[in-house]
Amino acid sequence: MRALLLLLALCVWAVPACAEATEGQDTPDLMVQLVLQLAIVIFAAKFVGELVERRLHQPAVLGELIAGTIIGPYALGSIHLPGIGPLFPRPDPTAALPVSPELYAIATLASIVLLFLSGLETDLATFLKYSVAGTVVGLGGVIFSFAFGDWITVLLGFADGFMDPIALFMGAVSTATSVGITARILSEQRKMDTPEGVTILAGAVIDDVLGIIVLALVIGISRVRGGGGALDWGAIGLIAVKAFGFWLGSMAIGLAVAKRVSGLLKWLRSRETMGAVAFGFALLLSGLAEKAGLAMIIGAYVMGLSLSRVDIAHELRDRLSSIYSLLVPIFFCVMGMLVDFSSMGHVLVFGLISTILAALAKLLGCGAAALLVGFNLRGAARVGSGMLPRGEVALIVAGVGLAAGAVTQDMFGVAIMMTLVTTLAAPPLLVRLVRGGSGLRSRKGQTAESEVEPITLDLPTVDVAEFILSRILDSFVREEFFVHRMDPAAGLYQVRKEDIALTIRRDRSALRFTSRPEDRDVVRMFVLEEIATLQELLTGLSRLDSMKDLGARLLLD
Amino acid sequence: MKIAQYLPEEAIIPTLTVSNKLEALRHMLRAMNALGYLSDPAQAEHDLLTREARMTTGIGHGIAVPHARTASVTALHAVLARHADGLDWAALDGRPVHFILLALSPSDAPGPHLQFVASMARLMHDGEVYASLLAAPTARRMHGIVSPPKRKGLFRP
Repeated sequence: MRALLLLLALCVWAVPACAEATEGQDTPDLMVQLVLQLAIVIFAAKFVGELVERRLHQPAVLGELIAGTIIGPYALGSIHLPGIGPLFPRPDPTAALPVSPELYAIATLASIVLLFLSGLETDLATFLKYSVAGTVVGLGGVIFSFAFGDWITVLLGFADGFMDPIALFMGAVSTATSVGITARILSEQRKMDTPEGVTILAGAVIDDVLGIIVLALVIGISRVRGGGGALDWGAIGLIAVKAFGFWLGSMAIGLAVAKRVSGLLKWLRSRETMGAVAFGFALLLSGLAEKAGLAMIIGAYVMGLSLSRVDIAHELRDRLSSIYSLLVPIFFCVMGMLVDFSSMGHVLVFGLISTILAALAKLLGCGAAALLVGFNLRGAARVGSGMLPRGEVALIVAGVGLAAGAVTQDMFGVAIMMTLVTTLAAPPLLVRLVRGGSGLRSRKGQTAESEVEPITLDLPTVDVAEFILSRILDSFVREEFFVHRMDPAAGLYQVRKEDIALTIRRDRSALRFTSRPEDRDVVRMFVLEEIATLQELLTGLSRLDSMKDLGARLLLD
Repeated sequence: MKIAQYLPEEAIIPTLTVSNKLEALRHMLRAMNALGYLSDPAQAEHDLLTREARMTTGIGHGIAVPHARTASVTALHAVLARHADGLDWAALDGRPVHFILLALSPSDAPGPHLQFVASMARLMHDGEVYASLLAAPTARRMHGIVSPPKRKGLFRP
């Protein structure tokens, strides 16, 4: 701990000292600056994240965002020490982003990793089951939030009418939900597979699709209003159709070809290569999504979701988890850096009111929709609060609005504030809410899986159970099954191959195998073989003169 | 898993006329050798009997699945034999064995082995399949039963 602090302190001084040499801004200099920035971002994000997690028992993502606001260009990052330049220089007011494009590019890459892995973690069957619920929740959120955002801007006198670009823009900023932050929390809390978790993700994705369409509409309208011309509803409709078509089409194609893609990946044999190529596919779809007028993160999520049901899903997650832990904190830290508290002075009251109202609108809109589709109050509260964070899409929306001249700098500040407050408030709220019982009104749908009686193998001691378990896992691997250790502490494993999926749990000296009824013969056969081996082992051991002699020969040679 | 891929029609022996387990295994190994699957029949027999000595492969319901991983084959190969009267296999449920599925897989290459045996066992555990296998007049008909026609569908692998 102290060593880490020392290292950090050293870096804070040493890095800007080196960075001073980068005034020239040649490509190598830019790269030096980027590398040094990344170093500080990683140290700060990981250190503050760890601190928040250990001391405050809050998700690390909060710490990473806070770290960003501390080291960003609007705070410590811009400090010009005597003889040492600023590491994160204050942006000139015309710049679209307050950080360098290079750093932002890496944050974008990180957001693709984040959403790809979120997709992989989602249980596709549950996702499809709750896609209708998600769509209802997403729609509820978008309609409520947009109306509220638009209305409050007019009400407080910042816009002349509901069709004023500023009012429309504030409405658009209010709609977008950050899948990333919620996904991260759900993943940390192991709630990704729950009905609420899946509904939130499905809703947030729908929300993002709708949010981006709304943004396209708002920009279209504001351009026309700025130029004094008439609205081209045809062009706007085309944008909407294209975005929605890509979303539906890529989902359908993704589901249809997932097995072929996984076949191709398995042909590669090396697990590392599999992970890398799968990520390549995620990047490909991300790029195509952006080209189709959607956000890259939606493409990444769709790719992950498509691959979530194939047998190598866990393998891919394992291979990419180190990239995740490296890149994703950079994303959240950079998002924190974009916040400029000082530009928000005179719109602070408006910002606060609109933030609170936007949050309420989202909670009400999504919560009410969740109640409609079968959740109880607890579940509705979870879904509503899960849809709160604005995060990356709101930031993208805000940035695009600013660049398109649809809004002023202070309104941009309000948008950022809304993002920051909801993003900071949602994680603790959501963490608290996801604990406890079911959020569904009736539990009919949930009992189906638990009704399958596991095959239980009672063994004399824990050691024997451990031994047999490791042998069984080995023999599954030998037959090209993919074994994933789900929870090391609980001794829980998932074994998958093509359509076969089973879980193995070691419960003291008993092994419990849960599978679909049609896969029980596979389980029986593997277990039977290991019992046969054990039999031989015992006979073999009894042929030894004595264990003591064996030990003696080993040690007293 | 595609069972038929590992169990061609010529690997089905519809009428096995032996009087005990060892003879049955030897007869089936000879059939396998005749099909050109074995590089070292003696090794295959040794490995098969070693496995059989550990624990019976008579998994009940009239089915036995002698199997082993052996250096004598380079890929998964299987032979299915039918014994009309039933053989004593010291089965787990004590019943005589009418169907013997012999499966050999390479010892040094990963790949499905128990998965194949389990798939076959699951198929034959089905009462209807078992009865129609027992009644089928020829190897061709038996093969037709264990390799059902390809189900059509866009999403089927």
